[in-house]
Amino acid sequence: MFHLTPKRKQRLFAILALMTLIGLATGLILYSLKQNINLFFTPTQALEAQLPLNHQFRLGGQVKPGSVQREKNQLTVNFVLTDLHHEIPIRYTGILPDLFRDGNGAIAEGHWENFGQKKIFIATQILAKHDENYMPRAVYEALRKE
Amino acid sequence: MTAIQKLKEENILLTISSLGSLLIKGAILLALLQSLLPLWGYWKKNNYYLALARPCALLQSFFTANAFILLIIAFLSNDFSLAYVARNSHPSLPFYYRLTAVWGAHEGSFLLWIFLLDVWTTALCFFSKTWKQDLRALALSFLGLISFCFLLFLFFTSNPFAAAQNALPQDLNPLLQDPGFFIHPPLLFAGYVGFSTAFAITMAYLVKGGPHWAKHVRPWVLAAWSFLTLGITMGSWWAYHVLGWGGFWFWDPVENASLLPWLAGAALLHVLIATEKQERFTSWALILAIICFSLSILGTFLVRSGVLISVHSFASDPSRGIFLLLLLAFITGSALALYIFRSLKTPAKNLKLFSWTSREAVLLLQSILLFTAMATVLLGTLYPLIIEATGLGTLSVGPPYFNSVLFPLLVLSLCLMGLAPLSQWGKSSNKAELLKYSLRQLLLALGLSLGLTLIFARQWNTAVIINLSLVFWVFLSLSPSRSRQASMGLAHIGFAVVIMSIILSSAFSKEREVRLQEGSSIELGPYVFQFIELNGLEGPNYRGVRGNFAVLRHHRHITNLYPEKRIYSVRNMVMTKVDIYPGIFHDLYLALGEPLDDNTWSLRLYYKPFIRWVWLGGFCIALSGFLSLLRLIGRKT
Repeated sequence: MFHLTPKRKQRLFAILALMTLIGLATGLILYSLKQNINLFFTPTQALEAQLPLNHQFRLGGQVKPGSVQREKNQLTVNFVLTDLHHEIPIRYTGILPDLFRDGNGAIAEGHWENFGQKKIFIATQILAKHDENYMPRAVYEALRKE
Repeated sequence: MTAIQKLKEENILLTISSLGSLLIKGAILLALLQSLLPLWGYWKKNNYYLALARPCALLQSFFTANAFILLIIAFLSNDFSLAYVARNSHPSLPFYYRLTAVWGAHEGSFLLWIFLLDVWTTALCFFSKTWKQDLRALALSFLGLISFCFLLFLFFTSNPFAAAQNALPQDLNPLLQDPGFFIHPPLLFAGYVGFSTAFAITMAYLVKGGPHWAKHVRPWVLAAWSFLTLGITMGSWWAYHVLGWGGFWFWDPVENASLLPWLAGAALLHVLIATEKQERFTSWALILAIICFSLSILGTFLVRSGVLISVHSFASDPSRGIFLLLLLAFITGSALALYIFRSLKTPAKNLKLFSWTSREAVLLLQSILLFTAMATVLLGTLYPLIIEATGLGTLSVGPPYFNSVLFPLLVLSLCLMGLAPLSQWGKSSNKAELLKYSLRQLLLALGLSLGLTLIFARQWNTAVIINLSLVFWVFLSLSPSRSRQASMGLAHIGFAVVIMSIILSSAFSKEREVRLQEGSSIELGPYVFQFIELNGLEGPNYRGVRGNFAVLRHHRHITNLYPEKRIYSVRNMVMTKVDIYPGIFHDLYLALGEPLDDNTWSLRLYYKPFIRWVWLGGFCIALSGFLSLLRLIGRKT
């Protein structure tokens, strides 16, 4: 017969404490992951995905050369991200990172919004990676195939 | 000149390239001997082979140290015949940054990794004189095995001594041209790599069996963990003043890679205290010791294999990643197998029960909490990689994930810290009295935090008040502690200070992004920033502009700030150099954005309260680690 000695009982408690914590953590993790995941798309994938307005995601591509335009007296910038197949107009208010440049890779985090007749991507954050050769992998593949 | 070149071509005169490769080859051979001879000696019970471990280890360390010095010489003497030097240096680079360039990219930082591994190996040689001969030899043998694997990796996939034909010097990444970079990577690596000694001692014990594992391993864990604490602290300071975003921690995978062994190391340190004192929880401590080093290798894999899309991303060569992943699987797998084998052979000890209010129970619970925190960070870090590797898409896990999962764990952990000083070894406390005492302290802390927040911040913020009262509870609970708990007290105060400053700086920071024309001014809270003028700037390897801003508060002049925008000519890379007015209670932080039109710039302004205390707390934690280490060393002699 399996006898629950006090020693075994204590070990059981320790293991139960560990399991409870890990269970709690797993629950929290799954919940938070669901809330805080940003999907990453190239322009082509983003257009295919047809995400609803106000759904936050990340868009990666090449800054289309010559597309960067600033608005007068504001910090708002309009530019185009492309993967050479499709282009998406981006609008961002704020300071661009140092490595943001025509023809470089960049990632915009934000959501779709209706702007007059067309849909544009309102970025809340622009990431240009701290490496002048950086390019999102999918975009790099697309550019290389050209 | 031509004569020398001729000699070089005929390989009569040694070049740095060939000499460096030769040294590494020699080190590989010695590391192999260092790992095999003692194992053979242990198998055959031959003391002569066991005794060979130490000279092999010292000689191997001598070889890698020389290789490392040679690479420094190559950088200082601008020897662009080495591909690595050419890619990361330039004649115009100031000589002190040529020193940091040694570990500025993949190959060199790996050589630093191995060099530090050998520094730890040498330390083990000198601090193990009183150990049993077979224990010392086996530990050195496992360190030799690790050296051997990493030296092979260095030589075949990332040799810093690879020669280059007519390579153009490409300069060091401007982000790394900063004083913080002198000290941050060596400290961080020293911590990372330091867990290898703890791992080797653990493996030696698993092979050999026997008592006193905790006593032998604890100083090494403590040393490595203290260095890691310093390294992480310095890294966050570097990120704060170099990256120009006013943040000190970004939940970037590369940062997480250093936090993982830190959390596991902290869990191990807590449980080791109980293991050493009472021979309790030995299995849990053994597993943690193995996990610590595995996480160090995992961190190396994350940073060095190029699997990450991160602000730090350095190398991208698939063979490197595969090698490191195989090594990780091999080391963790064999260690766990050995652990299972040993635990099957060792009869279970009959220990007394422990009370759930005793010191050992608090330590065990704290280590479980720290381990759980590590597991959540690990999951958030690996999740995007797993999803991408299985072809389910590309995604990123943002900072809100880490903040929200760690918050409840942090609250529990602070509660345990508040209880810890009241608990006693091997004794249960009077629960009613404990409850009464803790409750009184907690109420006092709540009152303090409520009062301070309402008086100084004049606003209601539930999260801040709750967190602050827990932090104050930790401070209050330490007051009756006796002198021999001083190092624990310091570590817990340091941790509470870090948490306090994170809460205060994230809740009460002020931030503005604005357009500002030369001659005009802008307000940030009570401060007024006047854009006085913009001047040209000429540096050794960059040019740029420097702004001059006067900062006033209630019409009183406080300081002038001179933020810069630089263009590093060789890489044609733009860099923001922020200027900070540091203070005990708050920093003012100013960064130039981009030039807009007619003398107008975009600017980023921050008011950061209590930000210095993050690093102050970090230093307290590290200091407490080093103090306990001194006490442990002193105890032995």
